[in-house]
Order: sequence, then structure tokens, then C-alpha cells
Amino acid sequence: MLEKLYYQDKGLFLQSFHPATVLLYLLVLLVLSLLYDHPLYLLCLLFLLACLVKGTEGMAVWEGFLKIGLIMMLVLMVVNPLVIRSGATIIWQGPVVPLLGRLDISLEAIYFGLVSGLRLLVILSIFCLYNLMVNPDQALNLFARAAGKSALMVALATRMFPTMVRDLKRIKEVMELRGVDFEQGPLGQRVKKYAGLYNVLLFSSLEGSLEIAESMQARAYGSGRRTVYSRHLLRPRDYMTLGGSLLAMFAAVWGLAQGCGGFNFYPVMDDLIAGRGTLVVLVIVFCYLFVPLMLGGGYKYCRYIKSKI
Amino acid sequence: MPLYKIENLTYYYPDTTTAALEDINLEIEAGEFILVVGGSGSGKSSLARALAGLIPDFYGGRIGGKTYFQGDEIRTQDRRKLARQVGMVFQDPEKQIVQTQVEAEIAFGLENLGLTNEEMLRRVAEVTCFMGLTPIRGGFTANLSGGQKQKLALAAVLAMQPHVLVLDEPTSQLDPAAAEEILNLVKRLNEEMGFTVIMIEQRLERCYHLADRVLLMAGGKIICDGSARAVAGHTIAGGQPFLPPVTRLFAGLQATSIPLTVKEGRKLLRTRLNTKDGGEERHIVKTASNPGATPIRAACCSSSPHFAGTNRGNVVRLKNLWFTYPDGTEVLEGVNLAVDEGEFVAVLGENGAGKSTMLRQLAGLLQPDRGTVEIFGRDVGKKGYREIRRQVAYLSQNPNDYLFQDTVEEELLFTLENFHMSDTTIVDKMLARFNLARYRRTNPRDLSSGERQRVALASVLVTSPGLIILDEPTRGIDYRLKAELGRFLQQQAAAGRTVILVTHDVEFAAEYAARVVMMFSGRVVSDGSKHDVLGKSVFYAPQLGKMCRGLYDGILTLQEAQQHIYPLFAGPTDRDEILEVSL
Amino acid sequence: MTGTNWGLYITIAGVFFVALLMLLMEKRAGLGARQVALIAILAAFCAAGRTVTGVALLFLQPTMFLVGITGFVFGARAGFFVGAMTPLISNLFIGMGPWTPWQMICWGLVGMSGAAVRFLFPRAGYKTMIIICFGWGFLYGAVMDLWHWCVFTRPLTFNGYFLIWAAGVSFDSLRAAGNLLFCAALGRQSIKILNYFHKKMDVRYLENL
Ligand SMILES: Nc1ncnc2c1ncn2[C@@H]1O[C@H](COP(=O)(O)OP(=O)(O)OP(=O)(O)O)[C@@H](O)[C@H]1O
Ligand SMILES: Nc1ncnc2c1ncn2[C@@H]1O[C@H](COP(=O)(O)OP(=O)(O)OP(=O)(O)O)[C@@H](O)[C@H]1O
Ligand SMILES: [Mg+2]
Ligand SMILES: [Mg+2]
Repeated sequence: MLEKLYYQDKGLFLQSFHPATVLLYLLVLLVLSLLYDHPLYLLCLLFLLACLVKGTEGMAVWEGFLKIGLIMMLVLMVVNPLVIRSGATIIWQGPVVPLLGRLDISLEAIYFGLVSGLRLLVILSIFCLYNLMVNPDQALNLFARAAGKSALMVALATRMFPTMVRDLKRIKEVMELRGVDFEQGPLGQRVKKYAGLYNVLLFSSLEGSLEIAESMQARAYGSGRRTVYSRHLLRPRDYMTLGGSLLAMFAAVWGLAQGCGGFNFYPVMDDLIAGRGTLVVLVIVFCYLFVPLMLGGGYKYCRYIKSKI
Repeated sequence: MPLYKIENLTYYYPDTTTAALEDINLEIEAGEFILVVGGSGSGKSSLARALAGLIPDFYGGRIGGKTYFQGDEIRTQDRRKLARQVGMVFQDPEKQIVQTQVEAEIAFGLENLGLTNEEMLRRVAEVTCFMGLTPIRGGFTANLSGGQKQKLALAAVLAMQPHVLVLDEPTSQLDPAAAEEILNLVKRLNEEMGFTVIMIEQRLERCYHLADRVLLMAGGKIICDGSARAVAGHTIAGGQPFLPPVTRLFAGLQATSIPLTVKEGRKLLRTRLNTKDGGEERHIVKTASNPGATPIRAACCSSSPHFAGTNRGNVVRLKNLWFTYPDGTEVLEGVNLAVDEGEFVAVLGENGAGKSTMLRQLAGLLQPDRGTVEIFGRDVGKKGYREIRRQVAYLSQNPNDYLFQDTVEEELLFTLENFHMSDTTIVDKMLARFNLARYRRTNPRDLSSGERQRVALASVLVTSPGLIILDEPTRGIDYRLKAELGRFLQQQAAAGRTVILVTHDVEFAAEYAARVVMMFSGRVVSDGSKHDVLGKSVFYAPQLGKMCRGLYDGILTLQEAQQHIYPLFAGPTDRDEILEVSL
Repeated sequence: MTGTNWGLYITIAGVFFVALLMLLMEKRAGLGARQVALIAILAAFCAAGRTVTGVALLFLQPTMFLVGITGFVFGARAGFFVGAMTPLISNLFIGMGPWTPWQMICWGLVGMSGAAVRFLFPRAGYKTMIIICFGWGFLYGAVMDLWHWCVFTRPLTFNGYFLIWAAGVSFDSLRAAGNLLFCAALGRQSIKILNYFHKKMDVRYLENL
């Protein structure tokens, strides 16, 4: 199950973009998810992300993310009405609680909790997609140009993460071959076995770190300015996606300035669709954002497009 | 000015009382090709680390004496400048890979040197192509086979083109052909480009003659330093085994000067044969010299009688085994193999052929996609290793996974306890057997690579298992211990236990195994007694086999050679003749 | 005046704050390849622990105590970096969001507190660390609630904070209990192992040899 959490090269179209393109695209999605309050916009973002996750064959992973997201969403929906007093439509008048005053539950507060939760799902999905689309080595290589030691540490640590999961698996295998049964015996003994496993893993990881450091040092690591090796080409698909992202961002900001995409919850909620403008901006922004998926479709079904992008 | 000048270098690892390096005095000139030989734990790797300027910074401990590189003391020298000039390949390929992707790994050092992208592309392309890494260029480093990792580690350093190459057993996991190629490359770099090479090697048959100078180490000291021939003479006089087989054979004839290469040996042998028999070819009878060997069958064809189903004695039976890793690499393609009780089988084959994968199937760690694996007549299906692990000892290619107790002794006791075996006297026996008694209370992580390998071996063999499966147990082990291991395994086989091991060490396979299985790209391509398989092969032939080919066919091991060749040299006049030929 | 903008502001503030802290820590003294690798591995280890158990056991994480112990053995800088990177990396897998920078600061402080313990009580052992980690279980919750309060409640009143904190107290006690249990079970071994590696950083020159 853990293998699914990190990047795997499946040779898909959506994995063939330049890492910079993907990062910018995802960044635009992230910023939009923070800028938009409008439930409709957030729902569309979630739909877009679902399509992308499907395109990267990551539905199983996404489900895991969704589960966490839904739990957190529920918590928000419960806590929010209890602490927020700004809503006008009271649907339930609660008792007076010391310190807090009267517990009034308003429809707006519940709704706000719901939308906050939706945003949360979108943010989680974006990072899920990141794991599916971007090879961490390459992404971090992009940052390596500016890198201080911290960036390197983050890079190394993200790299070590899958290694560690593999190590754990190997060590467990060896221990089982040497007669340790992790699932047998009373709880005390089982805990002891797992503690043993933990010790080995910690020890070998630390040992590994010294060896990696040694190997890095021996290969001139830190000997002055560093360049970055890149065999990536910026292909038409990258230019199109980059353009799409920028245009989407531009359209979104312009829309927000016109009042499309914002949403007021308190004291009374806005209408879901306030005017034609809301829908028009929505369609424009998402047309741009759908560019990589459209390219993917063309790549799959049309020889001509395939040869051109 | 010498390139390196070491004065009275003494080094202790943290918390140790015996010095890993003791009073080393050494000068190395630019452009030399130096071979460092010595027993396991004699301080070879420590010396290499000192030359690369990594001791003591990465290990702590106490250090005394001075090391000069190009006239400046290495400790005070700009570390950056040093790293640009000295390239080091470490002993364990598992522990020196930094990046997740093969290509990124090769480029890592180049990036650190600040080269332009064009330059990097060129160098990466060159070295990838030369080292045969092109098919796995985009692969993940964690998924590579042991030998592929080693090639990658070497490629990453060679791409940087440092003028001083420090290579710590760079070919211990490579198949003979790849090793040959790489050693030739190193030699060429040394001769044509003037690179200084300091190489540590345990398998001397392929590099002894390449070196300008050989250092013999023991107990942290350099006990002999000179040309290959001089050191060989000294080694023979001291009764030590650090010699290529050909040299060892002729050393037994007590000549004052002896051949170092197959060519020299052949020349010598030919003169003898010509004078005595007029050049007629000779053979020894295979089965007679090797009565323990089983009859040979071509197990790769599925109609083989091995699989008739009546054969009850099979300890291991692989039937039409197919396996593909989750990422889609098809590794085993219809492997058939049957091994009887008491057999000693060595599996040879190129890097990435699927040998380790096959062993993992045998141990029940991987489930076959198609076909069956039967061990002791039991089908090793899902989680099957639980049933068989009591009778099966499995050592993987990476011995570090086996070391997790605080002391070497506990490591062995751990296995015994888990299987509820109370007889602990075997621990002493095993420790003595693998020459580990003095490390009884040492943390196994504080040992040299060869020592770790032996601890891991001992820890799986303490249960006296019926089936012994070992993945490259000979890597990093010196001649003496290899002989000890070989004899131990032969005894086990003679006692009715079954031994299957993977090795790239043809000499070892020829010397100790009875049956040899060759794998090539996921298939068994050759299977039979060692004389049949190794005798015919060009690359997979032991040194003595090569030497005797065409002159005295059928000879593989030192013992056979001694038995058949020594009589040729009998007689008082021969001493002069040997001298004459070899000089 | 909704939560959004606050969320954005406070996230940006957090990011800047974290970046500044990291930069300052980094500049104070040069980190060698060895330290870099060590910190990275410990962070990866903690992150893996947080990810694996974060899904399975929710708040019982075998991680916070290790961050504390890292600070205890290797000092404030290593403690801070390991702490700060743990949520950063684990959130990549279990959910990144605007809360990440604040989690980083909290975890970083856990690491630094370990170093403080070592500084104040040089003879302290893993028992002291158990207490500290137990305390951090609650403290961490309280600090993170501060963030939730800022972002999700309007208007900002003390009552609001109290309610959020009260809602979270059950989770906090779970976390504290987890810290306590894991530190009690694994603390001694972990300190031993980290000390073993700390020793390798110690070099002595025998000049008169
Ligand atoms: N990291 C370490 N910490 C403590 N002691 C060590 C360490 N590495 C090696 N030693 C000890 O130092 C001695 C020399 O080790 P070294 O690795 O140099 O041997 P070697 O000649 O390379 O052996 P091998 O052929 O087995 O690799 C050995 O006795 C070993 O036990
Ligand atoms: N976990 C894995 N996932 C994907 N591919 C793998 C994995 N392990 C090994 N492979 C691939 O399978 C092939 C066979 O690997 P294996 O380790 O069996 O080779 P080997 O014969 O033992 O080689 P060597 O002599 O170099 O150890 C290699 O090409 C390798 O890249
Ligand atoms: Mg060594
Ligand atoms: Mg292998």
C-alpha cells in the first residue's frame, strides 16, 4: 500500500511534461483554491483534479487522501457552527454554555464549514496529484539552482522516504526468515518485536546517511557552484500547458476583481449563481485549466496531434 | 614531488584498541597503477579512505601521522580541490548511490563540478554507453541488481574523470565479462591518460599482472611493497595465499621465478608437454576425477526426465517458473531446475540475468507468476517461507540487512532463540570456523565488509539447515576464508545437505561446486557438472582451465592441476628449464 | 470578511517565518555533508513514522519523541531542522495545506526543547524526555489550535479559542499518551543509537605519534 504513496513512472502522457510545467500548473491550482470562495468554482476544481488523477491512474491513492479529507471536513463542519456567531439563519437554538454563551447553530456556519472542507479536499488532491505526476528528484533539481543546505536536506529526505519504506520491507523479510513472527505471541512480545524492527531501521538509516554523505563528499558535493543536469525538453505540450495556466490565472484574477468567484457567507449567503458573469468566467478559467487533459485526449486518439505535441 | 606521501599514519576507529592502520609509510608517484591486496580486515578499505581524505572526518576516532597530497597536508587542504582530483568508488555498491534515477546518479558528480549541460550530456552518454547501462538508463536505482548497482557506482565516478582513481573492490559483483572490460578500461586510463590508479581487489587472477606495484597488507600494516613479481616472490616465501591461481600452481614447484599470467603459464606448460609427449593433446576423465557429481541433464528443456514426477529425492524443484516485477520487467522466463539432496550447485550468469530473483523465489520471498516452486516437496506458495524457513538458510546479496544485534555473538544467538534451539555450543564453532572469534563482542556494524559478510553467513548457518541458499557469499572475502567457506559447504553437502549459491567467482565455483547452472536473461542456458559447463566456456572458465585448454583439457581446479601437471615437471633438470622460460 | 484571506495571510506569514528561521539556522555555522545527510535521514525517518502511523493510528505517532531526542543528542540546530522537516515531508503524503508552516514551527520547537533539556540538565536521561514529550503532546495541540482559531473562526474571541481547544483536547491527550508510550518503549534505545552516531563525529588527533 505504501508504494502507492510516492511517484512511480508509468510512462503516461501526463507524466511526460517538463517538471517546471507541472509545478507551475499545480501552483496555479493551489492559488486558485485559496482565492476562490465560491462553492461552484471549488467543485469544478475538484472535478478537474479527479479527471487528472484518473489520467495518472492514481484513483486508489486518491481514495486514501479523500478519506482523510472527509474526516477533517466533518470536524470543520461540527466545530465551525459551534464557534461562529455571524450567521443570520438560526436553525437550532442551543443551551447557554458557561464561557461560550448561547450555542446557536446557523445554516451559514454549517455551509461555511462545508465549503472550507471542500477547499481542503481540493488542496489535498493537488498534493496527491503532485505525487503522481512529478518525479521528486527532478522537481528538486529545479530548486537546486538556488539551493541552500535546507533545500538539499528536504531533497535528500524526500528521496530517502521511499528508500526507507523499502528498507523496512527488506529488514522485516530477513527477520521473518530468521524466525521472528510479528503477528504471533502476546501483546508484550509483539511490541518487543516491533521495537526491535524500529531499532534496526533507525540504525541502518543513520548508517546509510553517513555512507551517502561520504559518497556525496567523495563526488565533490559542495565544491562550489553547482549546475543542473537536465535532459528535459520543453515540448509544445509544455508551452500550451504553461500558456493555459497563465491565462487561467489571469482570467481568474480579472474575474475576482469583477466579483466573480468570491462568495459571502455572512450574515446571509449570496446566491449560488449571481449572474451570467459567474458562469462565463467559470467556463473561461476552466477551459484554460483543462488544456493538459485535452492534450492527453488528443495524444491518445489522434495520430496527427500525437506527432505534433 | 610524489603525488601522495604518507608518514607514520596510524588510525583507530572510535572505541577500538587495535589500530586499523598502523604506522603506514608510503609514497605514490603520479601515474602509478597500484594494487592493494591482503586479508579481510587488514585495513585495505581504511587506507583507501585515508587516501581519499575521508578518514577521520566521516568515522571519528583517533588519528596520528601525516598524509600529504601533492605536497600539502590532506587535512588542511581545500576539501573541494581534493574531491575534484580524487575519485573514490566504495566497496558496497548498495551504500553509495545518492540519486533515485540511474541517469541522475551518473550526472550527480558532474553537477557538483559545475560543468555545463552540454558537457554533462556528453559525458553521461559516453559513460552510460560504455558501461552498458543504456537499457536501464531511466530506471530506479533501488530496483537494480547488485552488479548493475556496482557498475553504476563506477560509472558515476568515471564520468567525473578524476586523475586519481581509488577503487575499492570495484568488480566484486560483476560477471566475468563485465569485470574484464572494466579492468581493461582502468588499465587504459592509466596507460593512455596517465591516471593514477589505486585498486583493491580480492580476485587476483584478473588484475595481478596489470599493476605496476603491489602492496600487501596485514593487520593494518603494509608488509610488502614492490613490483608484482617481487611481491609474488615474497608472498610465496611467506606462505600466504594472495596470488593468482596460475602463480600458486607454479609456486608449488619451488621455482625462483614464476609466471603471473595465463600466457606465461601456457608457455611454460607447452615446453614441458612438447618435450615429453610431442605436443599430443591430453584429457583427464571427468567423472573419474569427480565421483560425487550427478549425471548431467539439460534441465532447460521441459521434457527432461527430472520432471517426470517420480523423482522423490528432489529437494528443490522449479517448474516452468515465470516472474515479472511490478514495474513490468520480466525477469524469469520459464526456469526449470531440479536439485537433489546433497548437491552443491553454483549458479553463474551475467549481471541482471535474474539469479537473485530466482533465489528469492526459492526462499519464498517472491511468488511466481506462473509455475511452481517446491522445496522439500512442499509448494512454496503465498507466505510459504514460514513453513520452510526452519530448514532453509537464505543469505541475500546485501549482508547489511542481517546485522542488527549489539554484538556478533548475539547475532547468532538471535537466530537460535527464534527457532527455539537451546544448543549454543554451535555458536563457538561457527565463530571459529569463520574466523570471527575475536569480534565476538564487537558491534557487527563496526566491521569491514568482508567481516560483515561472514557474520551474516554465520547467522543464517547456525541452525544447521537442510537447504542452504546463498547469494554471492564470496564477495569481499579473501582467498583463505573463501577456501574455508568452500570446504565448509562441501562438508555440508557431503552430510546430505543441499547447497545452492550464486557467485561471479568462477574460481570458487570451479574449485568447490559439483554442478554449475548458467543463467542468461531469465533462462537457464546450461546445466551440468562443472567440467561440462566451465570446461567449454570462454569467459566463465577458471584461470587454470584457460591455461590448460588445448594442452590438457579438463583441468579446472588447483588440485587437479597439481595432480596432473606436477608429474610433468618432475626430474632434476626441470628447475633450470622453468627459470629459463619464465624469465 | 471570510476565512479565506486570513488563511492566505497567515499561511504566507508562516512560510516567511519558517524560511527566515531556516535561513538563520543555516547561516549560523556551516553544515557539512555529514550533518546534512544525518538531518535529512532523521527527518525522513520521522516523516515515515508520521505517515505510516498517521493513517493507521491517527494521533499515536512514534515521531515527536524522536524529534525531541534528536535535539537532545545532536543539539538545537539538528533538532530544529529535523523537527521542521518532518511535517513538511510527511504532509506531502498525508495532506499538505496552509497549516504546514505552523506545524513546522511547532515541531521545530519540539526539537529545540530537547536541546534545551540537555543544556539545562546535562545529566538527564530518557525519563526526562518522556515528561517533556508528554507535555509537548498538549502544548502542540494548543499552538495548532491557535492557528485553527485564527483561520476558521470569526470574530476572534477568547471563547472561540477555548472551544476549539476543548474540542481538540481529546486528540491532544491521545497524542500526549502516544508520546509517552513510545518514548517509554523506544526512548532509551533511540538515545543509545543516536549517541553511537554522535560519537562518530568526534575526532582526536594523536599529534605525538
Ligand atoms: N566503521 C568502522 N568502525 C569501527 N571499526 C571498523 C570500521 N570499519 C572497519 N573497522 C575495523 O577496522 C579494521 C580494518 O577494516 P577495513 O575495512 O579497512 O578492512 P579491509 O581490509 O577493507 O577488509 P575487507 O576485505 O573485509 O573489506 C577491521 O578490523 C575492522 O573490524
Ligand atoms: N524490485 C525490483 N523491481 C523491478 N525490477 C527489478 C527489481 N529487482 C531487480 N529488478 C530487475 O530484474 C533484473 C534481474 O535482477 P536480479 O537481481 O535477479 O539479477 P542478478 O542475476 O542477481 O544480477 P547480479 O549478478 O547483478 O546480482 C534486473 O534487470 C533488475 O534491474
Ligand atoms: Mg574493505
Ligand atoms: Mg544478484
